[in-house]
Amino acid sequence: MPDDIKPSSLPLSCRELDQYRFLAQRQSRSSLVGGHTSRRKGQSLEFREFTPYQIGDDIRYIDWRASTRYKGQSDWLVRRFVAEEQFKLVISMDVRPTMMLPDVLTKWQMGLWLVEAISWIALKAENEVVLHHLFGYANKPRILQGKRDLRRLSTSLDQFQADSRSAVDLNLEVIWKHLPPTAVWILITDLYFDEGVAQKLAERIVSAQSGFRWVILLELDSWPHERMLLSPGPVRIVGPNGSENNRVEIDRGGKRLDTIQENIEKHRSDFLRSSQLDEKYDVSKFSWKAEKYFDPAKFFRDRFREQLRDEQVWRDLFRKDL
Amino acid sequence: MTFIWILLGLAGLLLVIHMAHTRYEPRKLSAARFFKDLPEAIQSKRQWTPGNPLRSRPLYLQLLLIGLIVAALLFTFVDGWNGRERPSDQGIGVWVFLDTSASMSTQQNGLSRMDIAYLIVAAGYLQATEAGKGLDVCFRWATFDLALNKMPDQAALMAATPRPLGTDTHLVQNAVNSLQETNTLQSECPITHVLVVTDSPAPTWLTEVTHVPIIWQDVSMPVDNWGFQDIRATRDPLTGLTSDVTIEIAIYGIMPDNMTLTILAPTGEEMSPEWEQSEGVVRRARFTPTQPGEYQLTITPGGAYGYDDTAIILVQEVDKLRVDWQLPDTTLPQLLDWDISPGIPSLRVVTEGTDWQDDVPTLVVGNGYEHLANIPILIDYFVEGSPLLTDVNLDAVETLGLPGSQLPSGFSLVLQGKNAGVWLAQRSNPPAAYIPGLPQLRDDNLGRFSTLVFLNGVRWLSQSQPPVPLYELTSPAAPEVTPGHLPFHPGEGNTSQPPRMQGAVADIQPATTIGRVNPIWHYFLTVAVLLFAIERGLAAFGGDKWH
Repeated sequence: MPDDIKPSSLPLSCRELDQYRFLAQRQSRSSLVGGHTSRRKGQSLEFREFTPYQIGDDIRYIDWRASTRYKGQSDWLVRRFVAEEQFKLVISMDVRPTMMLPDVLTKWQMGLWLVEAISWIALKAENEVVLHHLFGYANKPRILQGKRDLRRLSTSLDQFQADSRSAVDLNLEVIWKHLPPTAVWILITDLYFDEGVAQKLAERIVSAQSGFRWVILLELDSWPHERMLLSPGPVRIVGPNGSENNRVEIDRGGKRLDTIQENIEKHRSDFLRSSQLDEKYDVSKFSWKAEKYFDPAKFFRDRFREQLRDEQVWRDLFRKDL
Repeated sequence: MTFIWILLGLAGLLLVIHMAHTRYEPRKLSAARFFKDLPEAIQSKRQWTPGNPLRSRPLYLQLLLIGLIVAALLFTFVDGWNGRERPSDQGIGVWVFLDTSASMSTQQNGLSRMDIAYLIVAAGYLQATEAGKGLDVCFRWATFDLALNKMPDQAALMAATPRPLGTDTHLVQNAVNSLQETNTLQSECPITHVLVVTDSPAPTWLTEVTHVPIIWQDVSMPVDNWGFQDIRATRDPLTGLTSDVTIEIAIYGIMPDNMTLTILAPTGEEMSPEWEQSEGVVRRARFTPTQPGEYQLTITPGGAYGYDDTAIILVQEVDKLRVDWQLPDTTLPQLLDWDISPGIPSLRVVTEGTDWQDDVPTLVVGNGYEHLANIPILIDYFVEGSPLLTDVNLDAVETLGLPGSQLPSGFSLVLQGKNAGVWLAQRSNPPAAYIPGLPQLRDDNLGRFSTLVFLNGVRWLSQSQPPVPLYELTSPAAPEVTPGHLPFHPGEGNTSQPPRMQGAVADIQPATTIGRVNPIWHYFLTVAVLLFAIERGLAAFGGDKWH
């Protein structure tokens, strides 16, 4: 792990994070569609909304007072609740060398901020969060439990980073026991792994989904920014560890870069197809700005707010208090 | 200026090199793996692609470096570009010339002339610095005798001592005249005054110098001196040996009566000179060397000038007259004890009709005296006073009936009979003489004539060669006095001349100097060197962008 990548303070205040509620309205392929509430033993109910009475609704939840004010078609209004279910949230972070670029804002840093923000919201709702390195057999998951571990979230993230070893081998066996049914599995990655790894990971994702686990892909896309770094002329493309070393001529029209973009997108779409992830409900893409230089903290803040506001997957995962 | 074109050519070559060297700008990308998926045709596989040299950072530094060097050269060689002008101003620039010839060692009133000269130089320096307070004051220093030597500073000048050499004041004249060209803006020290400190009287050419005032300080005063002026040898024309040595002693002022000349032979034996009758200020003595070697001559007591009081001369090895004898009969040279073995001859004797190409004095001997006419033959032509006719009785010659010969090519008639026969002839350059035949050893007119003309010819040809030098004069290349290497330069011992000066040290006053130019080429060169170091440092440690 490069020494200059340190978890910097999250560019979101606690107050802003506190506005989000963890919902985890799962979109399970095999059964229910849309959100549902369930009542589990030992859980409390939280009021969510009023809806007009429909045949079959439990009459114990008719709110007679609200009903007298209701002027709708139906005479009665029924209280609807959200079950505060204690979820297990597993966040698997990609730690391959490609995550350590680009320099202006590494994908690793972006991922750490996302991990911290999601963990904060989840822990505040008394959920369990498991931090996991997606690659590297030596890396063990780190478990955080509820509000009591909020205070040590930052320290845990430091340790999470310190424990990281840049690796390219999938680290899935150790996490499987932390993924019971109904768990939410968030993968933070740039998808720049080779086809063999993509295939294995896709199989696991499919397997997880079939076990009532909600798999969410937070895709970190730095290509728009990296493309801006390539001006017309001869360039030598060097990989993160110097492993790749290709000499190419960048044309003024950018056709060669368009080809690269197509290759990246094909690789992505192949993975999404293999892993049966739904782009709308299961994937959130954070794309870097197509600029050479920008403020990383501001970029993260703006993107986080936009994604959580606009993308379905986030709306299903969190609810923002008005 | 050629350098500038060469450097500009180098700059062009640099551009070509940078263009030929395709620079692939490195870019670290996380998406690098997708670039290898590019189809082969798209990836650059060409061996050479003209690169854009403007993208090369080192190129700018290197061009700037060459530009600075070109600028330094332009600011050196192009007139008017040489630097920043400083306007003309009041100041003093003194060029000091100190005489270091042998005569500066002459003692007068307990001091040497050089001691007095040091005082004048110091006074000149003091005068200039005092008068030029607050102004630009500078000096140039030089010594002169038979050579002009630049001195770096006053201390070096004051450390100079008299050398056993003569005096050439034309060196000062040439240096002063050169100021008309060299006393320019580029001068580090523009000269306003010339101070010459010497024991030579102010020369007349001083009046012709108008571009710079010359202060000529003659430190001499008349003192008595006597000493060697010349020592030369006389060679016996027939044997080649040094027959005797003539010594000339010049007297300036009053010579004491007890002056003695001591001559020591190589064996240490003291020899007595034979004095000739005095002739004015020169006295001559003579002695006959008995053997080759070093002869030490000493005048006691010596005069005020010491370099002419002693001399060690070299009398050369006793060589017999070396003759290239080309006649078959060698009786005569053996009789005369001539050396006829191979070697460089002093004289050549050949038969009539022989060709030779060198300048060796040659005696051409005719067919001899065997075919004499029985009747007298009158003289038709003769050259009066010719050395070949020394002591020749012409009347007796007419009785001989000499047949004569043809005039050799290039020769001039000396004696010819009415039968048109040439009896004697000579040539000056190269020296050669024609005689009818070898000496006839008989006691009659023929014997006397033949012997006389033979000896006259040999003597004349021998005298055409310079006498064997007994010493050489010291020179700037070899100034030391050693045996056979003596400082008898003309005029050095003449201590009788009254001094003649021009100007005074007090004349050194501020004058309007020419403006100066402060050269700036070295600034360009300094920056170029720094830039070179920076460029090399960046190339080594600055990463790919600076390679």
